[in-house]
Amino acid sequence: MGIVIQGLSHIYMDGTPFAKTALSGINMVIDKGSFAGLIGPTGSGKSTLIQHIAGLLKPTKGTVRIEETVVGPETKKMGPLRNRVGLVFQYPEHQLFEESVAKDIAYGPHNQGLNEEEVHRRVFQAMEWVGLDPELSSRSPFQLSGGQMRRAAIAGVLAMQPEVLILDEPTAGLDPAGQRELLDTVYQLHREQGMTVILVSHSMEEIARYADILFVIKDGRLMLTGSPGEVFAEGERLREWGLEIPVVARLVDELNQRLTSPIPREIFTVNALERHLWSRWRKGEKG
Amino acid sequence: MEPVIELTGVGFHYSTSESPWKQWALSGVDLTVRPGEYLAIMGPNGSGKSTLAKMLNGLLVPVKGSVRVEGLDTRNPDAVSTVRRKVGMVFQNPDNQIVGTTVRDDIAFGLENLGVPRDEMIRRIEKVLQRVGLAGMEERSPHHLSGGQKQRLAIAGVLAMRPQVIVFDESTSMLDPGGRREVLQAIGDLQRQGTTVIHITHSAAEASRAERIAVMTEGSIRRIGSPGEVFRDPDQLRNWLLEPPPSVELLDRLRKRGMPVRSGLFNTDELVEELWALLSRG
Repeated sequence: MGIVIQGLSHIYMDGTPFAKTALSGINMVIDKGSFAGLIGPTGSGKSTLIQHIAGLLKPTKGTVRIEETVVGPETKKMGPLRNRVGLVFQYPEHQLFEESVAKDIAYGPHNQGLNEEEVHRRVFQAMEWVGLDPELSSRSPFQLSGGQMRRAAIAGVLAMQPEVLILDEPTAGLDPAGQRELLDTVYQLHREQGMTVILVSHSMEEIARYADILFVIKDGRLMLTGSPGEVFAEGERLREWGLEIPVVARLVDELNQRLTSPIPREIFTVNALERHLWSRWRKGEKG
Repeated sequence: MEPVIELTGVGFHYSTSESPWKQWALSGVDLTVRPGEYLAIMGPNGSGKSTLAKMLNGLLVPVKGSVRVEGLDTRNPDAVSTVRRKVGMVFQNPDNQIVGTTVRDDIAFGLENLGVPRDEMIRRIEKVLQRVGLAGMEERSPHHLSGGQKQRLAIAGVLAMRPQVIVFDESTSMLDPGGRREVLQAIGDLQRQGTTVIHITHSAAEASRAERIAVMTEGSIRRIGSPGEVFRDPDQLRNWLLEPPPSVELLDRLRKRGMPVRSGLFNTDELVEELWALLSRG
């Protein structure tokens, strides 16, 4: 079943002269175990939407449902939804605060009321998941490198073992190698643990590499949903909305203007285009 | 032609004099920037890019070697204010660079500090807003601008000081794709109109817009040359924790599989031409 959002609207400061509609009439389904990409220009409502999924905001109208847990305008207890979802904010390393890496990661599981032994196990498991050396556990988080700090912050969320992991621009400010390492780690966890992942990113290359379903929002409305191939086929509209398609998809578009048998639109990563061009060229050579 | 910026044997470390060992953030950096050129600086996290940027307008001064801006040594305290006016900076986070309550006030702030007369101020504001495409937005509140507009406002504020050089320190990294396009366009326009541009970025695609790219790792410049020269060796770039643009990556892989693809191509038109030729030959 996964995540089901029905008729979700959110108005900030509703009923005041400052009322501002951030989301209107959003309907979406994210299947359990999928890797969803959420894209939209700045101010489109992405953050408001993920805060609803994480149980940090209550809908003005409509419902957010994860499995049997439902939150609507009248819901009193947000705890059950929050327990299912881990949200990694932008620049999560700014929220590190404890005196050691282990204590920082343990903060969430402690609050969940787990016993010492289980907390300890979760801390080291989360460190392993994100690729942090166990020797770093006693180190102050502020002695880590930028990339390690971000991993420690994400480990703190993973240690709560959420069913759904939401990442808001997780690679901002990391170098290309750091970006790839971090998302490869997340992708592996998604595959091994069956964790549902929602990735918010301005980088279409990132989205193209990992996501199996995309949601495009603009001005608080859901504009497009579909497989990456389907969404990237709408290059013109995406550009109009201040978005972009991956470089490889643009290259395919350009090539298709010249080729008599076009390259399929489902090709939008370097890997896929490499395989396609190579096999096509080889056939040509033989024929 | 006289270089606009010249670094000779620049070394820098952040540690204090009491510290027994010093970790050099920059060492042996030589760099000459020609007036009007478009230079990109790429490097992984911690490679010293931002330290270098702060060297260029005297926010930091070298421990070893020298930095000269139009011949002025940044270590000379009397030259610092002139140097800062000659070299403007645009940073990463648009929200941290805004001081005024309207677009006009935001630009006026810097000019008032310079003591520019009112008439001159009005003329300059009008002109710089036009140059970054924000004309007509004088009365808008900066906080209601989009990310790309905020960065263009930051550029206008810097332009009003009439700098010779503008340094962009990862100025597009917090923007959405549309905002990034706007700012890259503005950077290109500035350079065409004669401003020297130094663009610090992680993104190979952005760096490839420049005339020259300098690659930094561990506080030193490892390579400097045209985008074609720098991207010729993708494996080396990956060793430096960087990545070539996707198009260069694609060609490199096809070549490794045995397809006869020319090297050194990185712009889309050439690339499409080459791939099309290969496919239609078969």
